[in-house]
Amino acid sequence: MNPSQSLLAVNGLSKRFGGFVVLDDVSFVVNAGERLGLIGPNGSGKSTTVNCLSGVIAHDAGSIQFDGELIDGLKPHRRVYRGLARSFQIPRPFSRLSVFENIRVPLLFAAEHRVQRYLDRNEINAMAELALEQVGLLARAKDIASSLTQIDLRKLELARAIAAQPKLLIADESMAGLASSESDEILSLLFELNRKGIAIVMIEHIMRTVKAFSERLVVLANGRKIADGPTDAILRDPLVERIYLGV
Amino acid sequence: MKNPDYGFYSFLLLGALSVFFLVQLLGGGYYLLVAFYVLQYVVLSTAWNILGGYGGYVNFGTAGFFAVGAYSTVFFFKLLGLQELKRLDLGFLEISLPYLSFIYFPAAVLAGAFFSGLLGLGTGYLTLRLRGVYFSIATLALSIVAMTIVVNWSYVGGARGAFVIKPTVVAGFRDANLFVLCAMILLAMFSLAVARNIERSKLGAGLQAIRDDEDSAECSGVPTLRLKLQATTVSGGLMGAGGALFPFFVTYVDPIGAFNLAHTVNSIAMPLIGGMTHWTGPLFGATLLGVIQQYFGSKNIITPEMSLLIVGFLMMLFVAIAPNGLLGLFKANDKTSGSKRSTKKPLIFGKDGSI
Amino acid sequence: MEWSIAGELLANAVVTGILLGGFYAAVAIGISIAFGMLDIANISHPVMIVLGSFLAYYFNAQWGIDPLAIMFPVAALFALYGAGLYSLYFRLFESREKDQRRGLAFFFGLLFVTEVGLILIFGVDLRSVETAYGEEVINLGFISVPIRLLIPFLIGVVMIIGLHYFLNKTYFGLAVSAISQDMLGLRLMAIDPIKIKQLTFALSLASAAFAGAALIIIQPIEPSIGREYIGRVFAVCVLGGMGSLQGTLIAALLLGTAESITSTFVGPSWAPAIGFGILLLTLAFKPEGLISRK
Repeated sequence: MNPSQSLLAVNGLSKRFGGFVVLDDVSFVVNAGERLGLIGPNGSGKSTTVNCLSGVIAHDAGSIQFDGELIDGLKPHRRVYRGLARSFQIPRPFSRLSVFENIRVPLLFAAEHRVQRYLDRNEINAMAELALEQVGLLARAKDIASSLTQIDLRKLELARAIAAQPKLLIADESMAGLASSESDEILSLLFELNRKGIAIVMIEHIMRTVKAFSERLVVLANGRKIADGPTDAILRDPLVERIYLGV
Repeated sequence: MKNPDYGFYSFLLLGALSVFFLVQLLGGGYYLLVAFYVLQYVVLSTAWNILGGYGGYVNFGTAGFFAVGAYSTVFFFKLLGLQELKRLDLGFLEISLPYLSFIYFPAAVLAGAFFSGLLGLGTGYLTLRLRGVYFSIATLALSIVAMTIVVNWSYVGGARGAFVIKPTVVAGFRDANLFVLCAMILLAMFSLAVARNIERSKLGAGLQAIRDDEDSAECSGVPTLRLKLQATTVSGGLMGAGGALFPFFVTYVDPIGAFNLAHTVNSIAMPLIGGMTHWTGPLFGATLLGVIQQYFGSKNIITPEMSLLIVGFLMMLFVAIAPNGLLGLFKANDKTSGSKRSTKKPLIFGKDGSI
Repeated sequence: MEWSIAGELLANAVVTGILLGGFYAAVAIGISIAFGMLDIANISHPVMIVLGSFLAYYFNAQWGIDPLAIMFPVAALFALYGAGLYSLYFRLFESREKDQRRGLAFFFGLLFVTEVGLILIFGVDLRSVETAYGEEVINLGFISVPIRLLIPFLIGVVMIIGLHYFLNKTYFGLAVSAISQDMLGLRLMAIDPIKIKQLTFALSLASAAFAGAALIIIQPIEPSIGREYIGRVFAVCVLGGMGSLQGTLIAALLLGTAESITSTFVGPSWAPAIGFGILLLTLAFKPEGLISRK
């Protein structure tokens, strides 16, 4: 697999907080349109990886290449402009704004960068509506975000991430805390988004979901990558089993 | 969507004319002072609210930005020897005394706005990359440092203060004081227009998102630092513009008066009480609080210190219990246009007229 | 001959600066605790120090009590006040949202109201204390060590050492350190984090009493003097890294020395601006401070 063809190439990513090494030489790739699962026990460095990828924290060593260009040092909003989006583990909506505004406001800034031309107000509104429609929240467009249920908040979180038509979405535990029927709803939503061409990196604890969704898995433990390959093979790997069961 | 805009600007024009004529009708003098005082605070609280109410970044240095504007006027006044200036010879045009004010008033406002705007940009650039609290504390410390610099700067009068001569004759105005008031009226209207335009623009929308959740905004594509810097610069600039007119009104400027903490406290309390999400909030708060302060001050019911004490308590009270201001207590964010609010202005001047 | 005079001046300026730095550490400790450990931006702290100074003045003027004696009961009083203030703060702000802004505005209001209150009660004149040792100076060769600077320095150093010991060696202190790191763990050990926070905040306020006594020993005071210290405290905390005791001490010593040297060679009226200048430089180049926590 030629790294220059992959959509996202993470190389030797390392991060320490004070004296504590959180990530140690992590490398993996994500290909265009792929469904990748990023798993590992608590404290293995998944959140830190996501934060480094989206630009919220600066990594100490290593490089991140997205869509053929190095994005180290770029601020988060600039990464969104390039097509790298993330959703938050605990939904973080703009609570005082309406559902529609939650999508529209970031689009005001990001949309033009994504489509590479000037967009007028109507076109931006249309893009926002489209995103809401894709997640099934159009009916609640006028509601204030703080009034939404847990599952609707997660849908809103996803809608906001995909509104600017990203090439890659990092879905950080989009299903945490949901009942299984609700999880399934989010899962099928993610499948649909993937069908539309968005590569998705799923960080999740629920094995059933990860197994159903991912084509490939990357496994982290203690800040290091310990496994990387097709889902079925990885899940049968004794090393991975040991990490999870602590045998 | 053209009608709401005409409505707004008509409202502004109506307000401006009302103030102007009402003051003269009441005989000027004291009422002129009240009007100037209130309008100055309309400018300051509107300016404060652009960053504080819309964006959620609390500026404790209004007095500093205001004073920088005031002292820029003092500085240029001395530098250009405007005291002795009887006429300005531009070669193709000769401007005589009664018309000079039309030149150097706008110039002063622009200079004040420029320096304070620069100060806002600088403070913002240094502190906005850190957490919001650092920005707030920096603005607080900044006022004091600016005051230290001014006190040590004898050219602008140092601790002793400086005199800026009010124009004696201004073409078309019976009383030069009216001209100064007129300048402030225009500045107040301008501030309201700026605030409203920001509110409805991309900048305003972005600021709202930043206020609600900055990290989330940044990660969804809002260029947070850039927007914050824009807001800080505009806010600081307007405060400086307001300060630039101050010397012409009081004629004697000293550090204590220019850096008066009352400017800071009022510019926060007024939007807090009047409402921070909409441009009408600071207008309402400034008018209400400004008139009340002047009224009680004039009757000598309470000393200036007591009045400040009360404002401070009100501020704490509202922050704790009603952070959306008086308007927020009654209804949720109602973004109807100016037509509904225009009833408030005549009402207050009704109170004014009957005093 | 000029060199040796300049050398003497410099040496004295440095010594004075170090002594002053110890005092600044005493001033900054309270903020470092409240903000660094509890994430509470209590900007009214400087005016509480001034209040402490005024109380010391009052008891000295009325009954001739030495500030070093009165600071203990005043500290107890401030601790009670701090505990109460924390309860109020918690009920109003922390329990609802992680919104520091409203708390900030609240504390600013408190700062303002307290200062105006002081003006109303004591007026704007300068006040000072009369002590037995106030005028004395220890002479070590060409270096003079004024007692009125030495004592506040000692107060500051003792506070830092005491606090360090408390936080690292005592059970309660360790719980306080843990607060900022793992609240859940604390709860599981049946320790109420809220109570710990309340007591910590009380501690922060108590430190203001000691700093206040130190302040009035150094110089005469008037109500608005607290404002000069906002910039200094801020500079010390940012330079030293929030919540780090060693950092606070080192930064305070640096600030004191810088101010003292400026005061000697340039002029005393520029002193309050120095802290801010240092602050600006730090923010521009190394915002995490000298000793980063994370």
